[in-house]
Amino acid sequence: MLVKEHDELDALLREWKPPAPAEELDRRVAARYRAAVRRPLWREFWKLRISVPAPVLLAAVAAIVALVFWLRPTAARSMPAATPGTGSSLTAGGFQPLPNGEARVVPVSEVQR
Amino acid sequence: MERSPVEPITEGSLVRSARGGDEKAFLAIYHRHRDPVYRFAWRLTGFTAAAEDVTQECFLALVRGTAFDGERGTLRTYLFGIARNLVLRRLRISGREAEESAEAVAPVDVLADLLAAERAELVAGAVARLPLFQREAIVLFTYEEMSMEEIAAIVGAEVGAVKSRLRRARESLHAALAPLLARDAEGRCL
Repeated sequence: MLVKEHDELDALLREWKPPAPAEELDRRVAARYRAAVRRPLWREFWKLRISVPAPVLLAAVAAIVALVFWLRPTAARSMPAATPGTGSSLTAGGFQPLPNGEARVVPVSEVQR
Repeated sequence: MERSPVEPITEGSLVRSARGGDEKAFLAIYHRHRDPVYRFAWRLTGFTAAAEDVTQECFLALVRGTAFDGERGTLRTYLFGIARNLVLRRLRISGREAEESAEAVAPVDVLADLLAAERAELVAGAVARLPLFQREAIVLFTYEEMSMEEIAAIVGAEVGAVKSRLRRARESLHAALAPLLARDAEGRCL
């Protein structure tokens, strides 16, 4: 009898059905989820991954090595040989700074003296 | 009613993926559990908008809150636990208040209401008049077909306490809806 009463009560209770949730709810939840899991761009940058096929990677490395070799410093280039019979030298012997930094024109006769 | 026979391990990995930003995993969880969570919230709050808000916050809490541990229970009971807390917060009612009002069940004038209201509305009114702890027990047991152990895990009480709440809820509902039940019995006899 008790079980039967319970069955009747259950049957009556089940007549109370909820309305369907609004379709807008799904869109709202999805939008809120995206906003919740979105990270700052700078944090995404550190997790950036690039997938490259091995042949492409090897070709790129070879190209970089070749470029570095071609652009290397040319300090060891040989200087052209001096013409026989001529020479040049520059020494600081007898150098005297101008007094007060004043420049003056020296005539040729004074120089020869 | 609508059970979701899914292995906890599968759901645990889905939750991890969802927490890591996998929207497909999140939507899989959401569509699997949306209706039960919504029904539960609706039957406790009595309002569509409130039930939708609770449903939304419940699934977002799964992503933002404490990580789900599949070894401590199923995802279903975990989600219902979150939804229950959200409803309690919404109703601004403490556990003590809900428990103390357990005996204060207002009688329903079924005969007077019968002329103006649908049977479902009478049932809704009778359930709504139950104290919260009894209401959630009857909703989880009758409408969501949960076991005593599952209900105890969700509401954070002993199985014995859940049985007691359920028995008192059924007694109150039986008394409140007695005229309807009697009419049903008469209808079958005729």
